[in-house]
Amino acid sequence: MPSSDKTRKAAKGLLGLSLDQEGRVDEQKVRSILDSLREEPPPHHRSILEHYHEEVQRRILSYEGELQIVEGSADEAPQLLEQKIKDTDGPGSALHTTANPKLIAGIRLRIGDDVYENSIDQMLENLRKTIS
Amino acid sequence: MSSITELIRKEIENLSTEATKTNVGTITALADGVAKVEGLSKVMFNEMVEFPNDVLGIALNLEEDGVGCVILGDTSSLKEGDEAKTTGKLLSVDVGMELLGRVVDAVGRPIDGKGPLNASETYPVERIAPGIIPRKSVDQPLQTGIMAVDSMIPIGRGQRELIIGDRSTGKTTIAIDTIINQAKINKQGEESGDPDFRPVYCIYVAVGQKNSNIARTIKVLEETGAIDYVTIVSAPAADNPANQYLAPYAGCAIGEWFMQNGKDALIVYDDLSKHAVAYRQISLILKRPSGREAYPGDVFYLHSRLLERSARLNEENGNGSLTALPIIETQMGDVSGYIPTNVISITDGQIFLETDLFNKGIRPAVSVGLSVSRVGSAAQIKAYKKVAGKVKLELAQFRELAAFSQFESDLDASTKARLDRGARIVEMFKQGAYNPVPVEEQTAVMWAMQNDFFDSIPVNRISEAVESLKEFLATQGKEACDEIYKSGKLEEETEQKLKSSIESWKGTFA
Repeated sequence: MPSSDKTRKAAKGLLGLSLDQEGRVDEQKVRSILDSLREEPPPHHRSILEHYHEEVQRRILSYEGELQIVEGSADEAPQLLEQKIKDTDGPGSALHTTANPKLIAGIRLRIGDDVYENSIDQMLENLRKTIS
Repeated sequence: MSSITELIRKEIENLSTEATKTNVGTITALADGVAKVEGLSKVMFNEMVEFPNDVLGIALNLEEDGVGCVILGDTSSLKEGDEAKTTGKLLSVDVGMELLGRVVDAVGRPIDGKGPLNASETYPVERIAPGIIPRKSVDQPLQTGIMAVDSMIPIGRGQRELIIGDRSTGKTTIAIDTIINQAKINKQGEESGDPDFRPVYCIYVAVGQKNSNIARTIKVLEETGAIDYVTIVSAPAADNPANQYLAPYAGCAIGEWFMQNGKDALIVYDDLSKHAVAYRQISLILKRPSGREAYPGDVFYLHSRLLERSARLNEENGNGSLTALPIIETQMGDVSGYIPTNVISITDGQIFLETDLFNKGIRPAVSVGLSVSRVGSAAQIKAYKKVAGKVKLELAQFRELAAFSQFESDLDASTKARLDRGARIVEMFKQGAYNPVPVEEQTAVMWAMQNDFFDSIPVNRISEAVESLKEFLATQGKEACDEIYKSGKLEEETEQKLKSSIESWKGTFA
């Protein structure tokens, strides 16, 4: 059983090697790291890769946003928001837009662990909490 | 109907249309009432975390790659991948006079079926103990109504006095007797209309106990009418360890409200051994490094930060107090165990109960040699101090000499007299459960003992004589007792009245 701390430390080291100057994950660097590991597998290869996957995923989530909107919404807010984020964080910033009918109306934006929400669903939830 | 719709309409109008910001995470592992959450990068230590289906948790472990949360409530509705949200709030409980007569759980929710608490204030469960400046020395008595305790191990308001002993030695009974006595004194004080009277409100925290035991305690408090002055915080054995860990802190927050508002309160932690075990369980699940007996390294701090919150505040800070009676269960009378020594060193004294004494029928089974009150004697009323001054020494000498009592024929007169006096004191201190004695009656009985009124009565009839004397004093010797109650002193005039009353009683006691 490999030491979780050691494999996690190794994964963190690999993450450090995978970042570009702005601290974002560079796909080319990730590919070359994976090739090197495949050619010369280190001890506890699988465990290191699993932790590396977690670290990379967490890092990507910290700067890439997910915008949830109601499908078919004619609202301009999502486009304005995407443009605003690009203006602030540079052209490389990504905002994935997904449809979430549960919102009823409004938007939900998640960047890293932070969630900004202004939707009918959230208002109804707040109302339920106040009444119950 | 219209008022309800109006209420909802107002609520909708008040709803903010601005975006709200929350910090979220995802459950990655869930076991034994503890959730490992990935994310929650901005969570505070001890912050309440909200899970789906209105389940709450507390962030106890803030690690580099996740947060360890103990779940307060039913974990069966949660699963891996569920979202957890920060709330920005530390765990708080309702406090105030509304809690008197109520039974609440570890997070302050009522569980007695008497409806909502309607309390207007909340206090955080974890608070910093009062510092040096707002404190004052213990100088007011807290009468337990138990003669052996009030005479030899007196407790003052704001003191922390540990009740320690093996299982089934009467630890809880001492605590419950004390609570019942406070209720009796409170009723008497309220009836007297004395503006300076300060009632003592009580909080009983049941940790890791059987539900049947808690129900029995509640029944006793109801039957004696003490429940009106008591709040019960219940975290029974069937509750999850997180609730058992939190219950004493929640009870302490309820007690602190009384202290901070210039009132006196008494809190009983029944018991801290089980509290330490619950904390050990949580710590092991959270993978914290374990130390001696597998307890985590901060088990001393667990109890010191709790008991330090009991204090006596000075006049500038409202003159309130919170007295603590923590209970510890020992194994085979071993007071040198890890948790007992920790709590002994934190508290201002201990009442040690011995199994042997209990089995011999000496109840309360207080061990004179091992029991001590480090600050309470300063709070003892003058009249009582006068009559009880020598009794601890006399009883200790008796216990020392008791081994020689089998050679009675060879003993000198002085040793024989000490043995006789000791045997009588032991009998005098025998007291039934849930039957606290008012301090003035205790003083009168002790005075009678000190002035040799019991010497002519056979040892096996002393208990009967004491009961008879108490009954007599409650009816015909009331004047002297009332004077002791009002002045707290034993003047010469009062002593004369007491003497004549006891002489009259002795004539009636065959």
